[in-house]
Amino acid sequence: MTEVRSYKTIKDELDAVVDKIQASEADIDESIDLYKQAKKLILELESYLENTKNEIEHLKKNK
Amino acid sequence: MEPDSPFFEILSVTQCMELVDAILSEAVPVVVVRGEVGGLTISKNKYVYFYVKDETSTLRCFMMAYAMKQPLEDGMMVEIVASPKLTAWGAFSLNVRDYRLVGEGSLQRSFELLRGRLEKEGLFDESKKRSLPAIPAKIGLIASIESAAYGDFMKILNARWGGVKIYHIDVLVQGQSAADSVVSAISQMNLRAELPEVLVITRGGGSSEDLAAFSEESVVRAVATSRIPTLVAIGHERDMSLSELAADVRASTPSNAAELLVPNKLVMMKRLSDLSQDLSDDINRMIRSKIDLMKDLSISLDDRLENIQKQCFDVAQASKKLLTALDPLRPLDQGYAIVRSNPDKTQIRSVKNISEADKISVQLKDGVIHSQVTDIMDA
Repeated sequence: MTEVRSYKTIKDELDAVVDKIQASEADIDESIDLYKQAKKLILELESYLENTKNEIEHLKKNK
Repeated sequence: MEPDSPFFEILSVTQCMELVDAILSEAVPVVVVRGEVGGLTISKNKYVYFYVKDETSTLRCFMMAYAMKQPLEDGMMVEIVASPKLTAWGAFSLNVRDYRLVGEGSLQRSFELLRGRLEKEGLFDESKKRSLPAIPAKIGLIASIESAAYGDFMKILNARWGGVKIYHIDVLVQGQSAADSVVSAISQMNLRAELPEVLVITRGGGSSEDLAAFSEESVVRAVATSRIPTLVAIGHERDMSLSELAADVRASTPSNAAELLVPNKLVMMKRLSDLSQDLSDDINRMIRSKIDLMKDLSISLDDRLENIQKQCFDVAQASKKLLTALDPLRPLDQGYAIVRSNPDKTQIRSVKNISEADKISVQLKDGVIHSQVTDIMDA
């Protein structure tokens, strides 16, 4: 079972990757890898927020 | 008279006295005499001397101090139970065995004298009064079983509460033996292995003489020293006996004694029902208030959650936009290309890193061109 990471963990990791992209003097391939990593983190973040939104709606309906 | 008659026998003085005394004892062993007390003296706290008199005659009386159950005073009217006696020194006297006061005045005066004495001893001190148990389960009852007082007490007690265990001792409540009977009953109650929680001593109304036993010193002391808390109800509201003053609690009548001991079950049930309803209303009000509070909190929490959620989505969107701007392949859209060496795919950033005839690949936005270097020029 995949571990669901917290919003803060994902966001911190994303910020770190973006910082690296911005500050890096890495070559194009490394930059592309970081970019792909950042994209994945954005997807994870969006998925996390979507799930949270669904959970809140479920709670509202059942109270 | 015949010469051999014993009356002609010559007797010594002592023999004469003894003979007359013996005849007197035989002929009149006991007399009951009514008269007014006079010349009362108590010697060494042991012997009581007085006389009783009427308009024309006076009789000497003698009594042991311990037999003086009610205070006596000159001028009181008494009925004495006594044995006539001719003493060795020729005095005629009555040996008093028992007595009773006669008339309201004498009874009242004796009552006041005893009251004053016992009050000084502290028998009526309010500080010594004990409380009665709230609803006693075991009651000691000292009353005449044939009396209306017994009937009234039991009737009211059972009507109001019921289920109370009664230890009853039947006693005489008036007359010469009443005081001893009551004192003995109090003693028996206090010696029980299973003590009652309260001791009720009661009798109904009557004349002052009828109620007198309950103001006798022995009864008052027995009430005052009872280790069981006492509730005494003698006569009617207006009657006051010394036993009632010595009791922990006084009731005005036997019925009132029952009312003081136990609550009315029906009234109590109604009160409990009202209390239960009040309590239920209070709890419901409290629950409603908590539900309202929770609803408010829930709404507030929903708002807060929505805000946080929105902020998080905004942050994610901003990150997404930033990332789009940072896309390393984006310059390809503007016509830039990425040049790599072949076959190792190393990015070539400078002409110094390439030689003529090297094979290279050029990545554009929509594909890759493989070519070979034919000429190199510096910028």
